[in-house]
Amino acid sequence: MTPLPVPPLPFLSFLNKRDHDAAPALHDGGSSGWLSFGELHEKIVSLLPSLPATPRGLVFCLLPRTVEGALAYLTAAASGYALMMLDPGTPRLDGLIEAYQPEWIILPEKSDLSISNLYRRVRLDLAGLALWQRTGTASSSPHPDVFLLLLTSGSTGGRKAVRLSYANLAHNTDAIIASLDLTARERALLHLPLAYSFGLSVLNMQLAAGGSVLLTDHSPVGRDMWDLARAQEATLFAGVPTHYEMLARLGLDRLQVPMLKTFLQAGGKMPLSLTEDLLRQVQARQGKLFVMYGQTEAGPRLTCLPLHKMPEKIGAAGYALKDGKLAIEDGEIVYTGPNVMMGYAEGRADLALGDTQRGRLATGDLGQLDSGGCLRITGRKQRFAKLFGERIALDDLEQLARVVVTAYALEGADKIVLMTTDKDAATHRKLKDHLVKSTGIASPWLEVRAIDAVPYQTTGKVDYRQMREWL
Amino acid sequence: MSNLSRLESCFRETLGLPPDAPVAGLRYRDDPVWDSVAHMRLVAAIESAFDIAFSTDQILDMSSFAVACTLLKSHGISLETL
Repeated sequence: MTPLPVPPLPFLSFLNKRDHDAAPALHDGGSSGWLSFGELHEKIVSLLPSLPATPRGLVFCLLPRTVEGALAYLTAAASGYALMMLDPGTPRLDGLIEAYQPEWIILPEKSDLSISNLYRRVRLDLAGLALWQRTGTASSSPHPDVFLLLLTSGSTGGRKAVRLSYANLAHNTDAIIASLDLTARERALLHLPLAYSFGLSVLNMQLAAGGSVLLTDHSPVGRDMWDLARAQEATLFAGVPTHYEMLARLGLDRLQVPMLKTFLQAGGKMPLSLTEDLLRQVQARQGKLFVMYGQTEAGPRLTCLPLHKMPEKIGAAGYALKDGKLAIEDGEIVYTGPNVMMGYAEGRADLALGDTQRGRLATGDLGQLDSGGCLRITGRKQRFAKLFGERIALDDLEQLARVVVTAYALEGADKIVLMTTDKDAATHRKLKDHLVKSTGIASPWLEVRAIDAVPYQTTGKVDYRQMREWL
Repeated sequence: MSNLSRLESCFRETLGLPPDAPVAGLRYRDDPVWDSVAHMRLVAAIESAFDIAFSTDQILDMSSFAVACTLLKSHGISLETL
């Protein structure tokens, strides 16, 4: 096979090989079965002419969790283009196209794209996906170091993105593999969006480690996902707290997936009781649990708490990944390392910028470091209310209120708004009284509002931005 | 309130649908509001409204309003209108 000259990314290194590698790489439950690394290589070679690489530009990738979606991502990466990964259902795509002027767009064939005046459809041999090429004048080339753009908030239609370099992704992928002691034997069940930094990192780390990925559009609360995981012998599950709440309710053993033994948890701090419960279930099957902390800005992983530290350090976010350093400045977690993004972007002009971040990331999260370097996250800097000069951590209020979903401050005159799906006025009064008693916050600064449902991002995290829009 | 209308309001309330929204034809993930997070809320709401506990299999199987009716019947809850 022809080795391809590809960008220096560990999850593309299989394209440098000459021998056909028959080890399984990708499967999505479809009738064609497992695609081997060798077949993946051949397929990417055949797809690359669809994306002629000069001049270097930007590709929007709105990709489903299918073998074709993963192939489109890897082909775009191998082409040398800069990529922006987007959810297939991204709201206000036109605004993003206007802001970033991508040369190419890959998206599900059935998508309604009102860009036919600016783009023409070109051939792409990937079932279910369509490739569109921009017509007319070319935009300036992205900085040669820029590899990946990820939106800071995909679900709200904002256009702010992080700029990640080839080196960011290469370092972070290698460091993740080292922190998990990942081997080629692992088979990841990938149910997280590819445009979500955690989801994408699972795909990247598996391919870089020579492991396999079972992509699925099914959900953890349906039978189909577990039937697929069982039939294809998935060994690794990655999820955010809401997914582990589901697993806790369903009961890991009752899902009958005995091969599933490695569990990654990221995307937010879990209640301690849930982590303890999960740890018990994982240990009962001689499995491994890794609790991790990350941010999209760090490509995305910052820390990992390995299993052998678990009983002692349970509830902590763990230790900085290889080559990373943690510090606490005024209570805030500050990370320095080779995986820290080049900076943010708001539009095409920003893609020409080099590294404006210089390897330092002020996370906006609050934490404590123990003498052994283990990080404990205590709150989130942005989620504070200020009442008469006193800072009130809204995450703490959430914990206290229990039934409450979230709370936050209004601009200007701060008022803490507690949102709950409980519509009973008496419960609202009790809730308010409870908080007044337990925090000393005066009643006029607290407001309880009923909402129909807690808004969640596609990643499973509470969508605080959406809640703010309701104020 | 009849058992059927109690079940209907469980669906409307947890999925954030208006009080007169038809629910009989609802299927998991057909409607974007019935996602995996809403599914777990729905399970909890039905369990608490009827004082029952679903098994893992029942939670995984409850893929439509019609299945939810069948599951309630298997817990001995009649949905006939008297």
